[in-house]
Amino acid sequence: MLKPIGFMFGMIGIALIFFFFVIPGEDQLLDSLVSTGPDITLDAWRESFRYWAAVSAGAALLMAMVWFVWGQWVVNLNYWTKTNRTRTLWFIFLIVSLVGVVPAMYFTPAGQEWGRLSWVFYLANNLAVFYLATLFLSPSSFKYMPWGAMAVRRW
Amino acid sequence: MSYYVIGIGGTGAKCVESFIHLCAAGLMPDNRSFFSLFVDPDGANGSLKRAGQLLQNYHDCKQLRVGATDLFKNDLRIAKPDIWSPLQDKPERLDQFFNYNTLARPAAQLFDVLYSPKEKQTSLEFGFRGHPSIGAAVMAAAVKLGGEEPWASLRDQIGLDVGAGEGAKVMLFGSIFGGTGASGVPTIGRLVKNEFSSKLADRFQLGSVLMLPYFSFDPVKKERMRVDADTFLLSTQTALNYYHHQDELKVCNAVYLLGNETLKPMRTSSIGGQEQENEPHLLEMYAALASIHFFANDNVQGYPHISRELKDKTGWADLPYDPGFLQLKAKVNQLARFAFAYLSSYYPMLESINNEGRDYRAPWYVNLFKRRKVDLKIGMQKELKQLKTYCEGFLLWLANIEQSQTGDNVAAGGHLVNFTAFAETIDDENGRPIVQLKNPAEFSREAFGNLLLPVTKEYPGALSELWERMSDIRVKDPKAEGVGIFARALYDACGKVKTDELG
Repeated sequence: MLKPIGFMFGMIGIALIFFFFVIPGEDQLLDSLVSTGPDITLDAWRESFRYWAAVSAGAALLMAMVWFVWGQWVVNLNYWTKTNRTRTLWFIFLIVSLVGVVPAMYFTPAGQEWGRLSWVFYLANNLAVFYLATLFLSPSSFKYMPWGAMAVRRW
Repeated sequence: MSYYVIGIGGTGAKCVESFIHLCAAGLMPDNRSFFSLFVDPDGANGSLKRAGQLLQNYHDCKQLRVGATDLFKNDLRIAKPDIWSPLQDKPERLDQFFNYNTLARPAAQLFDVLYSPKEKQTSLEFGFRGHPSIGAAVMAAAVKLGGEEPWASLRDQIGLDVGAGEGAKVMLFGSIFGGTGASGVPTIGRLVKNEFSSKLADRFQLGSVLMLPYFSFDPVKKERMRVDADTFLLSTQTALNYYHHQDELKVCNAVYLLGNETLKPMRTSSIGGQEQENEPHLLEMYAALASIHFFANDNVQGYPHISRELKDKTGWADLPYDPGFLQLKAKVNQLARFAFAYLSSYYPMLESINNEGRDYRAPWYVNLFKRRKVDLKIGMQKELKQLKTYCEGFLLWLANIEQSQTGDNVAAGGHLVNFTAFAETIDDENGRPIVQLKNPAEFSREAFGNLLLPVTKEYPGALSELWERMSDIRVKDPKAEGVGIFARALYDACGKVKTDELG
């Protein structure tokens, strides 16, 4: 029981790295690149970016946690054939986690220059949080379901 | 100390069959090797054939390098030839066997007094047909420890063990109510004992398990000389009286007598040959446990009786095993789970990976095969297939052990094994019940955590828990190699999942 809980805390840890290091770093980069129109100040735009970046990364974390809970406690592997479509299911979770960026894209005010770069960051953050969390910390029974996990995961 | 088991006749072979399964479960007192031999004039006997195949299968599975574990713990040496017939390369009629036509007149007349014309002239290719008087004469004339194989090897091997100071224990299994066992056990026992009694007798011990009546079958029609179940009790009484008065069993350091007041009807009635394949019975498991008792104890003394607690029910606590019934139950349970899980989940998954790839579905495959560069294709053709055959045989044996007590009355609750999880009773072409394994896809997976009875708490998710354990398992035993690493991992994991052993 301790191990799964540890893995879930690990997922939260990965998301926290994004909240405290990656998103602020992106924010700094956007500060130097983006120029806003007369309707909004750069500081207000950046605040909006930080907020929506955190929300969309949080959505990715939530999907990773749902994947974990499903794999650890919901699915019953009494029947081995249930593993046949699990990679497809993981992929669906990945896609669903990307949906989390839509509100961020919609509600982030447009910038005059480089404003769309925020969309790229939302997508990248979202993908990275879900992928890294599941790559390293999927439930033991499904640990090699994420693409590339077989090459990196040794625990 | 090395161990020797000799199954005499069809019942003896069935006792050896049970013994092999208990060895596979790790119930022997240590990991020393054992030597096995069957004695039967009817080499085509179905029960004997099944036991012989099991021996070979155990031997093959023992080649898996599983390391230091209870699974297939003991090395097995199979006699060559594995089945010895006293009639091998000899005439199959009693009169021809003893060259009756060329006997001197007094000897021929004595022969006439001892054997009826029917006994003299009936073919013995299917055994001694419940006539120990024939068997005793043939056995005594044919067994030559210094002569033909496998007796020469047996004698040499025991001689080596005894000479090296290791010691040797020989166990003979046979029935007392038929022909081959009743005649073979005392005759072979005496010959073997005589060989070693003069020298180093303290390092050589002989035991025998004598099976009293516990099964019956319908009379075989159109056979004028046959085994008749109606005479089993009378034959037994006569044989026991004879052994007592002649002190025939004094050569044994330990004798175990096993019987049952109700005779279980066997499915087939046959005088011998392939058709004579009788299903395993609980009493044969008792016989195997008796031999383990003999092997585990240096000095078996006294005249203990064992019985079961309830008249109509056999529980695990009734089974005699020195370290305690809980350990017996735990080890049988572990092997039962291993076999169940292997057949229902792991072998099909390996087959699927072998055919279509997508190995990411099974983390245990990646860890135990792929990363260790174990060739699955070769494994599927050899070791994994042999393991599958063993697992099928073990579960079928276990189901038959239970069915021998439960009969068709499954609804009334079982005794030892929840066999309906993996086997079913169907009617054969003659309308007689026969136990067969279910298709593994139809195994009741929720029963994996409760394969042995009684069920006090259900563990419907135990098979899923096993998968999770297998996904993370590490085998640190350097002696475990190849496919053996996987078998070891699965066996170890089966011993750790939630269990109902105290039930």
